[in-house]
Order: sequence, then structure tokens, then C-alpha cells
Amino acid sequence: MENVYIISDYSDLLKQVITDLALPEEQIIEHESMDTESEYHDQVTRLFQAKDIQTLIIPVSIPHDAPNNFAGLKIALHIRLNHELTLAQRLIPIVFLSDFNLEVILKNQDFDPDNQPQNLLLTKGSYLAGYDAEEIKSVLEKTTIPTTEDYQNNILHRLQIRPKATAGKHSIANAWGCLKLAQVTNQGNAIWQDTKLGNLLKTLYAQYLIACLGTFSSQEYVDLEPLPCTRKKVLFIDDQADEGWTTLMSHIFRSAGNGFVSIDSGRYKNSETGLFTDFDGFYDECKSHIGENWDLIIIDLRLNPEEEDLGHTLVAPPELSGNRLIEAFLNANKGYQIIVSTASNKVWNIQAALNKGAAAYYIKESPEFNYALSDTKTHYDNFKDDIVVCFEKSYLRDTYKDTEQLKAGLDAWEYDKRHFVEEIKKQLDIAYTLLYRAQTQEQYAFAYVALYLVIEIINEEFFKETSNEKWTIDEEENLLSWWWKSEDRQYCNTDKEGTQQDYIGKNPPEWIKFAGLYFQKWRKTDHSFVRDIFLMIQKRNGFIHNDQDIMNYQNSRGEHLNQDIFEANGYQKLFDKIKDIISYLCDL
Amino acid sequence: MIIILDDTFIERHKFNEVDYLQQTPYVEICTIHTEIKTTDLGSLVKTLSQYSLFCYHKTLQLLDAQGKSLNNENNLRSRENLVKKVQDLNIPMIEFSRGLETRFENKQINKDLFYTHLRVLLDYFMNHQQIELKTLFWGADFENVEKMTQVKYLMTQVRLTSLDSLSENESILQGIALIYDKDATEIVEAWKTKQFSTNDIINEINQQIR
Repeated sequence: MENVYIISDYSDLLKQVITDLALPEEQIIEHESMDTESEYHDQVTRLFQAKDIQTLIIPVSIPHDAPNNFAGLKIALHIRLNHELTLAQRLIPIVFLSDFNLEVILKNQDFDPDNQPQNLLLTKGSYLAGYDAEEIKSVLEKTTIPTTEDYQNNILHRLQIRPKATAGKHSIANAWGCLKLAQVTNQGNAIWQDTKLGNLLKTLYAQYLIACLGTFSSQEYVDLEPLPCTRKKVLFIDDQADEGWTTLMSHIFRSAGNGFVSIDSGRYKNSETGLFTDFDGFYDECKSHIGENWDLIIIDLRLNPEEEDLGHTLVAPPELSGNRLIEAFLNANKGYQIIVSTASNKVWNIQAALNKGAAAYYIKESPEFNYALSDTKTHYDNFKDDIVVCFEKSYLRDTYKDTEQLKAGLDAWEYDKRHFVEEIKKQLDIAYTLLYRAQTQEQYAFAYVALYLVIEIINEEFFKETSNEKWTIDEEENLLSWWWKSEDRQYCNTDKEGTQQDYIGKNPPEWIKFAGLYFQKWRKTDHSFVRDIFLMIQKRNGFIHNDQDIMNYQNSRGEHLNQDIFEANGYQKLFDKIKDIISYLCDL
Repeated sequence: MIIILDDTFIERHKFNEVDYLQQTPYVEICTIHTEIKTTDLGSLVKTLSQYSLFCYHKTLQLLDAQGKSLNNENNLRSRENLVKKVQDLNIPMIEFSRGLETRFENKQINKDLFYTHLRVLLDYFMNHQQIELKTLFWGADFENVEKMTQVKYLMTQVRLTSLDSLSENESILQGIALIYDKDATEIVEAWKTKQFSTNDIINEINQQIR
């Protein structure tokens, strides 16, 4: 009887059995009633860590003097499904004690409908004996240890464990998603130690899922390349932020410090049921952050699962609460970088979010997906890559804001030719849209060229050709013949003798027109400004005409001065000049 | 009369059919409190003696006078004081909570099971004018569970009693009377005549109740 243990409530009957079996005291395990499934799980874990149990005898109904129950079967389920035990420990032969025979037990109506513990009696490695020492000894002699194949085919497949209605599939799926992400960000312990999540993952249904999914691993990856996000501002919106996701995300974005903000969904929910008591309040708080300088916003697709998921109400993907919030943020600033997170793997849901303007998506894992840990790692690495791209593009937030301010300034300008104003505004929109969508170097250059056209539109408005190939500015004065006098580092409009010259000829270059506007109409005096505009126009021309001399031009330090047309940086520099130009325009 | 204190009841309709609790005749025999302020506790305690059963959510969240949730410490203290008052009045008490293991001997029950079987308890109360807690734990099948419990006890006594002394054990005779139509002592004599072993008797009892 070595390594044979018995769970006892020290009732007279069990004391008699123990005496007849001559089991020593150290092989008797005192039965303790537990209040929750997670306590059963932990008790079983501790038991097997402390003792080398190779066979276990458990009364089906325990305590014995309580009304007829199946607590012994429940303990055994926790043994068979406890992922913290080795497979050998999970597969020990278990001899159940009951004076009711199998037929009588199975006819009972009182089994837990979700855990179906009676099914355990029909699996390999489970035996039934009465409270008779000779019978127990006879059964013990015949026990065999189930094999690894038996575990899947003759044990797990015969158990029919379902999620509880109130703490069921979705709660456990959420806990699962947290756990998998935690495993690749070195936060596994944090999840298991989180009371709510840890308890969920220790329920029989969660343990059953873990046992059935051959891909589950207790391994963890250490994230050797933490996300660089110092001084970044990140907003995290998730109805389950209080159920592990804030913990996870705040760790991932830890170098952002106070820049990482998570909306506390727990404030608006019943702490026990996890259901919203004030969804509108939660949603309003989310919206209150519209307009702030976020570098990244992560929004969960379904923020109100009661109505959009658990409620089985058919909600069209674009109308999901997360999508409506994405729309609200982007309506305020099209430059916001938004990643949508979702537990849904339905491509139409994700596509709806991308159509709204989300930059990328992250799928929270669910037990249904059954991904190997290496796949989880890949997903996480992709997520980080997407975040980095969003950070790189976060300048679009300010560019959009500045563009809208420019347009507002133009609207306020009391200029009677509204078609001209509308044309500038339209061109600003076109340029911004091209910048927003740019992904390749060429696309950035297209955005630059589109923005440059604002200068041409302005020039077009104020210049008219006269009959003798001269040009007038606002029909008031002739355009002078501006040229760059390098030794003086400024522009001139005179000949060698110092006589002012009118520009004569077809199609003056745009930079000369601009110089005329700048010096003659607006009476500005900063020559370097016009020089900058000239160089920017030259850059544009070099790209359009594929002039490699211009494109490859380097200064004395070997810096390529015109390659930035292929980057957001080039657009930004031109945009800064356009802002000044429009301010001069509107000051008229 | 039954009183239920459950701060989470407002969501219960999503998991159980509970509309009947707001309708006659149930509303007349069962009172449910969902938002309990500390200022209400005094008047609540005064009414306790009219109740035959007190059922409460194990992690009941009480409110202050302004309707805001009490902090953990004050909530725990207020709740414990209330429970003590119920105990002092010897009113049968049931504690329920989500995730709580159901144990009859401790009068604690899983919240889902509580609401699943509540109507059976109330129907029994209306029909018999008494509280039968087993209806709450086992629903309509409680009589079968009771019978199985008694049979289990019978088998236990058979194991612990010598064959010669079976007919002197009143518990055994009562158990036999529960499952046999014949006189219990006759049954015992028949076992002796057939020279049944303990295991034989156990097997026969199983045959009788299958």
C-alpha cells in the first residue's frame, strides 16, 4: 500500500476502512471543504507538491455525514485537469468509494450540469469500490496507469465540461487572452496572481480547455526588446481594462510612464458580475479624451458586450461601439493613430474598423484559436511593429490640426473671391490625404507635390499677363525680375547698373512670382524665406522632371538636401512655409 | 416570509427567469432588497422577526446615506453586524455568491443555483407553510436526494453493525422501511436466513433502489 493515499473526513465508516486497510497516518489526507473552484485547484496543487501520491482513494460523497453529494468526484476532476500537475500526477489511478453501485449513482438527477462529474466514473483510470477493505484491496491490485493517449481519448473526450452561465465562456476567453499575452511579455505570474483572472483560470472549465488544447504551455518568453515609448502619450480603451488588460498594457508601455492612460472600466461595472451598471458614463469618459495629444489610441471593438455580443443582438460591424468611438476620434482629428483590439477573428468586424480609419488591429487570443506559444509571440511582435509605425506617424495628428486651423483662418478671411479660398482649402485636404496614406517614398513625394500646388494656386490668383509679356501683381504693379545675388545672399531686381527691371516673358517661374508677391505685394523683407521657397520648388521640379542632379545634390558636408521629399519630414518643412504664406495672405 | 438581500439582483434577469418575483403571489411572500443604505438597516432589523428565512449575498455591498458604496472596512463591519442580528434572532439563514461552492451543511449556495431553485422553495412554502431548505439546494428533486441520503446512512449503519445486531438498530429498520414495502424486521430476518454477508446486503439494497 505504499504511495496509496486516502481522503478522509474521519467518519466512523472511513476510520473502519482505514484500519482494515492498515493505512498509516501519513497516507491519510484530511478532507477540507473548499468555497470555490480555485481553492480546490490550489489545494490539489499543494497536495501533490507535498506528497508522492501514486494512487488515491476518494469517497464519492464527502463529508460522509452530509446529504448525499459528489464532492469526491469534483476533487478528482481537479486532479485530472490541473495543468500545474505533471501528466503522471494527473493520471494516477483513483479508486472512488461508494456503497451505491454505478447504475444507482448515474441515475441520480443531482449532478452539476456544467461539470458533469459523473462522467469521470466512465473514464480510464477511475475505479469504484464499496466501503469494504477486501473489495478495495482487490480493486487496487487491478488498477493500471492510463497512458498519455488515454488522457486525450479516454479521459478528456469523455468529460463534458461547460462554462458557467454567469462566469462563463467570455470571462474565461478574456482571461485566456490575457494569459497568452502575459506569457510572451514575462507577466505570466501577474496574471495567475491576479485574484479575478487567476480564479477564472483555475475553474474546471478553464482547466479543461487548457488540458484539451495541446498547444498550452507553461513556458514564458522574456521580452528582450521592450517597446520604446518614452514621452509618448497612449490612450487605452477597453471594457475589460479592469480584467487584466490595464495590467498587461501598462507593462508593455511602461517606458511611457504617466503618458500611458487607461480608462478605468471597473468604475462603471458591478464588481462581482463584471456587467456595466453605467455604460453611458464609461462611453462618455472615453469620448472626453477626444482632442488630446495622443500618439496612439488603442480601442476595443466591442465595448458593450451585453448589447453587442452576449446579448445576441445583431449589430452591424460599423455600428459596434468601438467603431463608433473610432469614428468620433477621427472626426475630431484624422491624424490620430488608432489600433483596434478585438477578441473577434471575424474578418468583416476588423475590416469595418479599418474602413473607419483604424491603422492596425490586434486580435486577443481565445481558446478557440488554439495558437502555439510561438504564434502568440509572433502576434505580439507584429503588434509592437504596428505600434512603432503608429508612433512614427503620430505627427499626422498635429499636421491635421494645423491644416484645419489654416482652413479656419482662410474661412475667416474677408476675401470676396471665395472660389480661390475654396481651392486652397481643397488642395490642403488633398495634400493631407496623400500624406496620411503615404507608405512608400514615392507616395510621400506625391504628397509634397500636392502641397506645393498651394503656392501655384496663390500665384495664379494674383498674376495676370499683359499684352507685352509683362506680368502684373493684382493688376496694380508689374512683376519685377527677381534674381539671387549670391555674393550678397539676397534677391535683386535691378540690372548691373542698378536699374529696376520688369519681368518680361512667358510663364515666369513660380518662384519668381512668389518673390514678387512676397517682396512687392506683402512688403516682406526676409530674403532667406524666399530662398527656402525657391529650394523647395526646385526640389519639387527635380522630382517631377526626374532631375538626378537636383535629387542627388549634396552640400559641403555631404548631406543630401533634397531626399527629404521622400519623407514626411520634407512635407512638414514645406507645410511650415505654407502656414506662413497663408498667414501673409490672410493679413491682407 | 422570505427576505433576500442582493445588490447584484438587477442583472439577474439576464441569467434566470425572475419576473415572477415581482408578481402575485410571490411578491407577497418574498421581499428583495437591492440597494441597502446603512440608514435603512435599523428599520430592516426591526422587521426581521417576521421572516422565516434570511438570504443574503455573501459580498453584499452596502451604501451610505448618499447612496454611495461604503468602503471595504465599513461595508464588512456593517454586513457582519447585520448577520449577527439575524443569528441572534435564530432566523434560518442562507448565504449565496457567484463561484461559491454549494454546501448544505454550511447553508451556503452558489448564487446561480440559488436563483434556479428559488421558485421551488417559494412554491413549497406556499403549499406547506414551512421552509424546506432542501428545495433550495436540490430543487424539485430534493425528496430523491433526501431518500438517497437516508439510504446512504442505512448502508453506513449496515457496514458498522454486526449481522446479529441489525434488527436492534433503529436507524437500519427505518432505512429499510423507506425502501421496502414489507416489515423491516422481516427483511432483516430474511437476510439472516439467507446468511447474507454485509456486501450481499449492500448489493440487495442497490437492487431495491435502482
